[in-house]
Amino acid sequence: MGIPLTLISGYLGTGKTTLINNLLRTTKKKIALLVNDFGDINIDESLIEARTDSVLSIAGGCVCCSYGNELIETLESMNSNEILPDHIVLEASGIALPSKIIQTISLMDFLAFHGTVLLTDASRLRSQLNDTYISDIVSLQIEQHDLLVLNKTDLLKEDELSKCIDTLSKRFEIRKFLKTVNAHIKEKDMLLDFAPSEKNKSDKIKLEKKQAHQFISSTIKPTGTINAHALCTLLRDPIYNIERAKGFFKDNRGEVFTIQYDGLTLEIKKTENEKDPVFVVIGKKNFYNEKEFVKKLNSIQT
Amino acid sequence: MIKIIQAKKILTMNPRNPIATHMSILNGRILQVGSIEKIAPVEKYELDDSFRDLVIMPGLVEGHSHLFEGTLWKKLYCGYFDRQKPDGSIQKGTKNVNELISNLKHAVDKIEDSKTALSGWGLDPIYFSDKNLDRVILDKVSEKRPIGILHASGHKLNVNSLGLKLAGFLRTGINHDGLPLGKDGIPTGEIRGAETIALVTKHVGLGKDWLSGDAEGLRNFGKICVRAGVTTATDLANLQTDEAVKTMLKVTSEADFPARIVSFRYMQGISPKELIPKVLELKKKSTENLRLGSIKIVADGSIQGFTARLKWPGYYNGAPNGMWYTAPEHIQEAYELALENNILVHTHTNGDEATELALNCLEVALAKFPKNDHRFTLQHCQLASTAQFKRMHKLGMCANLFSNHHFYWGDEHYSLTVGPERAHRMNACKTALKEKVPLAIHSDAPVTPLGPLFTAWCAMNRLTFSGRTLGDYEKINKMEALYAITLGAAFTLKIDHEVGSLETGKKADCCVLEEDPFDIDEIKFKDQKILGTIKGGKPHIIENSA
Repeated sequence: MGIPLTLISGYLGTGKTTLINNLLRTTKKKIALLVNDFGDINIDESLIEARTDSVLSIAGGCVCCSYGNELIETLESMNSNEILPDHIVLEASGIALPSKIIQTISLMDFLAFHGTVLLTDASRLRSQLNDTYISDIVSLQIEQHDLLVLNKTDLLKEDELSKCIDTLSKRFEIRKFLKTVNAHIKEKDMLLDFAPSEKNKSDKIKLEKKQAHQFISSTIKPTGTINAHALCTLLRDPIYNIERAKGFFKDNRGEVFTIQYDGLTLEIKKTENEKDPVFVVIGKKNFYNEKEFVKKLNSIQT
Repeated sequence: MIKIIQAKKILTMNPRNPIATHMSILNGRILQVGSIEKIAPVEKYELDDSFRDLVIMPGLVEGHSHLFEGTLWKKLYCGYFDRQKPDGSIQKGTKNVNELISNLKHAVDKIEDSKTALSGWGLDPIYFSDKNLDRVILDKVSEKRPIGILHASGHKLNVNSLGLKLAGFLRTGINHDGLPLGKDGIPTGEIRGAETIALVTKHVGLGKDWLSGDAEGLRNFGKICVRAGVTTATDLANLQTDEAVKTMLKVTSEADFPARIVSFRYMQGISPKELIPKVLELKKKSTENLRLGSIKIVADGSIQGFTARLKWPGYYNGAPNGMWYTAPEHIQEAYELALENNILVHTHTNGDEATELALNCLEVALAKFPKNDHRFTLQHCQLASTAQFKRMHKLGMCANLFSNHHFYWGDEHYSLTVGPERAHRMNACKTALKEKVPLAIHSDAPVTPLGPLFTAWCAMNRLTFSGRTLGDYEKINKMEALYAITLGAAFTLKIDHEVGSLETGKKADCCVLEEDPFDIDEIKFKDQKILGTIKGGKPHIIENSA
């Protein structure tokens, strides 16, 4: 089944360190803790038994590794350790998206993902969700939770707190929710084997389950000339989800080319046939972004 | 003994004494520049007239490059454009998939044992129109040895089936953005994103050690500098491990190493608070040839990778906004600590939202730690608006713009990433100068080849690969461009009192040219012949100049 791994995520200053210190102080499990860097984490000194440059041995048989730039190698080293930990707790950096880390974890078959604990700072949440620079990151992080923790609730008055919870429940689909002070969460609440949220799987896969594969096609007759490179880039751009394309076009020098794309291979060949430019583009229903594609195709014509 | 160098013409970049024929040198530094009558000393001197038919200008300063340009050549170059190797020979560009396959086959034949991985770099299939590269195509080269080729951007890797198998990904059931699947449900062999690439590189001969500044790679970098006329080059993002610093100190102090290196400590995997004392310690190790003790911060990603942070309306093709590579709070903290400790910081900002954030952070930091001459520099700063350049001026910031980008990716920016209007505004050199922002321009080698004269050509002509002019208004003139690749870049590195012009007291660092660049048409500026450099009075002449 693999070593269970729990991801601790949340923007800077939401209480990840405190949460981890609480866990280390009370756990009976042998935990391997992976942190972005020791400078951020400030492990309770009284818990540390020994230290080297990148590993701290912690009372009760736990270890804490700083992964810095080497998350993957540090994870892989977990598998080669002679004494396997009972549980790995991975602290994400404050600006990372859980979904990206989970994808990477999914490629390592010796790990079993047990869910994302996502911390938020009640006193700053609403301003962060309105911040020009970080609101999108904070929102995406919250969307990707399995357990959502509203921390530092003691810093808010009762009416402010209910406004805060109101904001969360209106904006996000909440799976499991806890209010805390000082990031105090019981181990059994935190290291549970959550089934990973659907949100954390790629949207594509999720939709595919629901939809039968119906195709739609569009026929487009370009009136102008088209740069071949721009056309290749456009057809391959994953945001349009194009499955197939076929047709003729004139390039900037007025030469006629055939184009054939099967979702993987793209062939452009010069042809002597004087054909009128036309494309047929095919994509799966609900995936193929027809309107945007046609708009974009028009915009690259000169 | 005093040495006097004689040239057909010496362009000093010193407006008080712009043109001369002789330069006297003592202990690697310039005594005087002028005519022999004016500068000849009373005592005995040695005259070197080997440059009498050539033109000498200040050694060029590359304000944004990376030392591993020299190390890359250990692997096969697979880029679209012809590129000069450190030994001066030309590696022909790879124009299509068939050429790629035949080059790879040729390289395979040269490897003696049968299992060693074949690795390459610089691939740019954007320019290929024939076939989408996948593992099956690379299998035609070899099925028995792993093959991995990094793209020019560094953000993609193509491997063959064996490479994929060794990494454990030649199977179905994978659901990962970085591993697109083929029709058979198995990854195609194109690996996307640094995190995913890291899972595969060690299996295809591109493990993390291959780029760590080895002595040979560093010497190769020196050779590349000579060919580009560069005597000072930055190494703009180095983790500066003890081992790497030791190697850099050793190689740069070798008598025939031809360049001075300014290396910046990359703020990654370390908190600002921990970084500052490390950088202060490193600063003490600086020598004449290797300057340490500055910080590089990366705020956002790249525009062509859709990872840069853009202001409204965002990406032209509707892609979502990019990512922060460093948390805004950490940038703020680093700026404050750096100002307090008198440490120079250069910040990578590609998107205009990242530029805005850096400006806001510095504004707050300066209010707490006022400093007149900090020279904090925004690197790339490609999408900065006029209003942002005005703020940069007010805050005392410098800009080092990525002029080469127009040539290599300008067509992409126009049609895909930012659209026509912002593509015309990108790397707005003229506006920077008009708003009195100290300006440098760069190659970001190895992202594009090291060559400040080519970079100057890009800034003067603003032509794309397909021949489109992007932003006529933002072109700068020859003098402005030459300034940007000498004194301008030196200013952003706080070394303009030592290099960047030829005048009394400065280092005798020169670029040797066949012709006077002021006689060369702007459109031909990139084709002028460089014959070598002089560093600290010692000539480094290219033997087999192409």
